This record gives sequence, C-alpha cells and structure tokens, in this order.
Amino acid sequence: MNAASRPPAGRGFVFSLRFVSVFAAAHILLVLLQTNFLPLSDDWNVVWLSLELLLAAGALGISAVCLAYARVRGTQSLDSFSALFRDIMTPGTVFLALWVLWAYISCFLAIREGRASFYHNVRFLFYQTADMLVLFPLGLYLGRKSRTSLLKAVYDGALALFTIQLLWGFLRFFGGKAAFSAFFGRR
Amino acid sequence: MGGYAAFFLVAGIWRFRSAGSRVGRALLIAAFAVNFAAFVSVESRAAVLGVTAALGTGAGAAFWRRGRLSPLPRAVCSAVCCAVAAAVFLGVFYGSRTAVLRVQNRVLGRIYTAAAEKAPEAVEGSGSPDRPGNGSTSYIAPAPGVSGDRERRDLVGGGASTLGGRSKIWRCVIEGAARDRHILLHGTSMANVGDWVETTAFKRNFHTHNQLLEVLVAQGLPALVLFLLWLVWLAGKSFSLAFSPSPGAEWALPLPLLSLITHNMAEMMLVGRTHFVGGFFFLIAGYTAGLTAERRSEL
Repeated sequence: MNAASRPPAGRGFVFSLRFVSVFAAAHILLVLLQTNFLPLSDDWNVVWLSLELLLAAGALGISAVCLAYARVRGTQSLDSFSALFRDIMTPGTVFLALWVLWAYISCFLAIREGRASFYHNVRFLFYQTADMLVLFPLGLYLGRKSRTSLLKAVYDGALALFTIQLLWGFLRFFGGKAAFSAFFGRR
Repeated sequence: MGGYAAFFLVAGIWRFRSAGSRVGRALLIAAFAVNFAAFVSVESRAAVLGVTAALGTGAGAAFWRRGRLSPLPRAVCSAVCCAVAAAVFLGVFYGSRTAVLRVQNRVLGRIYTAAAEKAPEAVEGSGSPDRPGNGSTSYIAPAPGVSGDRERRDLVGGGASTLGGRSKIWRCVIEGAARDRHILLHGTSMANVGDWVETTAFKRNFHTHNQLLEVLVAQGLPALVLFLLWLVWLAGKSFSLAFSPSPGAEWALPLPLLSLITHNMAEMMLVGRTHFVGGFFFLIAGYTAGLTAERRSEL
C-alpha cells in the first residue's frame, strides 16, 4: 500500500506506537543501569524495579510488534492491533497465558502459607514474564513474516536473540557483585 | 539455541541450495558451528543431547522426504536414522562425562604436576594427591574452592547408571511431591525449589534436572498440566506445519522443539532462571503461533 492511500488517521497511531516503543526501550535501559550501578536501598526497591521492567517490556513487546504487523500488512491503524490479537488467541497461547496466571496465583498461595518469601519469588516472576513479553511477540511477528522471506526472518530472529542476550550478558558480566547480580543472577 | 542453530542450518541450506549459493551455505555452516560451540560451552551435556537428537531426526526426515536412500524403503531409512540418532544420543550421554573427566584429569594433572615441581609446599598445603594424574589414573582433581570429601563426591556425581545422579533426584522428587499435598496444589514457589530439592533429595542441587518436575515442584500440578498442554499444542502445530502439503522450509520447525524437549528431560530452561535456552523457547513458541496464523489466513 503506498503512502497516498493510507488512511490519514493511522499516522497518529503509528506515531504513538513508535513513541511508546522508544520510551519503553529507554525505560528498560534505565532500569538495567539503575540496578547495575546504583545502590538499592532495600528489597522493595528491587521488586519495584522488576515491576517497572515488566511493564516496560510489555509495552515494548506489544507496541513494537504492532508496528511490525502494520508494516507487513500495509495497514496503518488499529487493524494491526486486532490482527495481532487474533494471531495471539490460539489454544496454545491460551494455555501459556493460563500457565503464567497460575504461576502468579501459586506463588502468592505459597507466600501466604509462609513457604516462600515475597521478595525472592516476585522478582523471578516479573523477570520471566518480561522476558516472555519481549520474545514471544517477536517470534510471532517473525512467523507471520516468514512466508514472504523465511531466511530473512530466521536471520532477524537470530540477530534479535543474540542482541538481547548479549545486552543481558554484558550487563551481568560487568555488573560484578552489584545488585544486578542479585537481581538477574543465578541463585 | 542448539535447536535454533539446527533450524537455522537446515532452513538456510534448503533455501540457499535452490539459489545455488555456495558462499551462503558456507556462512550458514559456520554460523551453525559457532552457535553450537557457544551453546555447548555455556550449557551442559544436555545441550549436546538436544542438538544430536534434533539433527539426527532432521537427517532422518530429510532422507524420508527426499528419498535419498532408495532403493531402501523410506520407513526403513527413517528407522535407521532414528536408531543412529538414538545411539549417538545415548553414547554422548553416557560417554561425555567419562571423556570430560579424562580430559580434566589429564589437563589438571599436568598443571598440578608443574605446580608441585615449582612450589611443593603450596601443593601439599592444598591436599595434594599421591598420584598426580597423568590421564590414566582415577584421580579426580578438585575444583577451585572445593576441598571436602562431600563436595568432591557431589562433583563426581552418581555415575552413568544413574544418569549422573539424576534418576536418584527424580525419584526422590516424585516421592516427595506425592507426599506433600501443598506441593501438588501450588508448589513451593520458584526461588525455593533448590532448598526443597536439597532437603528432599539430599543432594546439593539448585534444581530438579527435569523441566516437568521443576514446574511440578515450583508451581504445582495445575501448572504442570497447563505446561504440558502448551507443549503438546506446540509440538502438534509444528509437526502439522512440517508435514503440510507444501511446507517450504517449515518442515524443519520440529527440530528446535525436539531439541529443547530433549534438553529439558535432563536439564531445565524455565522457572527460577530464564537464560539463553528459555529465551529461545519463547521465541520459537511465538514463531510457531505466527506461522499457524499465517497458514490460517491463507486458507
């Protein structure tokens, strides 16, 4: 679809998505830097930062994939969001969503019974959900795009995965014994 | 990651072969080699298992599809390839530990001998063995920071008969979970799995060495059921895409999933720590969902 035939109202939508994705990416970077280089006052600080990371990752994942869908489908409006939603609503992703939901419920049940600490478990959950919110939509987009150029989609996926892992690995490596290790490191 | 590398290799070769680009093929093989080396170096033997199983089955599928081994029937070719893959699989599993320890003995033994010649008192102080291994001895060099007998036993593990101690852990974990209704209902939470396993299985471990058991212990039986349903859906969709009438390069899609599932029988990728393999799993799950949606929209 060329630029002239695009609905004018869609440009604002695309601009909003771009703004959200850039803002969310910057927020993730700031959170990572903050946990890496600044002293954390208490456990709640870490939990709060992990929640920030989760929200920012969700915003980045959804907005970036909506943008990508809009580009692939040639639409510049909310159609891309509804297409994304239709793609996501498969039995498999419903099972995945229910699994994640149960992970939170079971975590809070264990905390209520005194079997687990809020601080240690919630940050794990937030971090893992954030990881999922970035990588699952990315894979979804690559799968949707692959009919036109499979190899490029595979390369894009490899590049994205390596970049993400490189960034986390870089920060983890240079974070040393700082709070970042406690935040993201292995037990 | 290994599965992704396998998919990367197979899909890429399939693509480039039709284009006739040798450079592209060489680049893909090099990329696969780098991925494989990185994966194996950061992961454990389970990574090797996953990659081997995926590649063996992929080769079997390729022979089956292309009929390269005719005059033999395709079913026989597939069975032979799967048997070879299984043999390699088991060989790697049982043999790698011995091989690793042999190399470890040889390298550390030489280092130890050199250190003993330079500063014998320092070596004596750290508990030097009577026989500084030369590759043929049974001496297991202690890892840095490990000096006690218990820790050394833990490093050595339970031997090949127990899959490196895994079967003991699995049995203890299943028995322990069956006794505790709280574990069956909601688990002990992610961060506490290590402590629970240590208490139940009497072995220093941070996890259960099995993804399904890890989900069971961390989040309970409902989570395990949902996780299994998700895995079954993923596997079913990837195979249906692979064996569709005009699959394109999607026929290689089950390879990464097979690799990951194999890996997860001996290790784990999710719950408690998400790292390279877990990230790849989310990516390939989304990829399968996207391909399914694409096919659905084409119909």
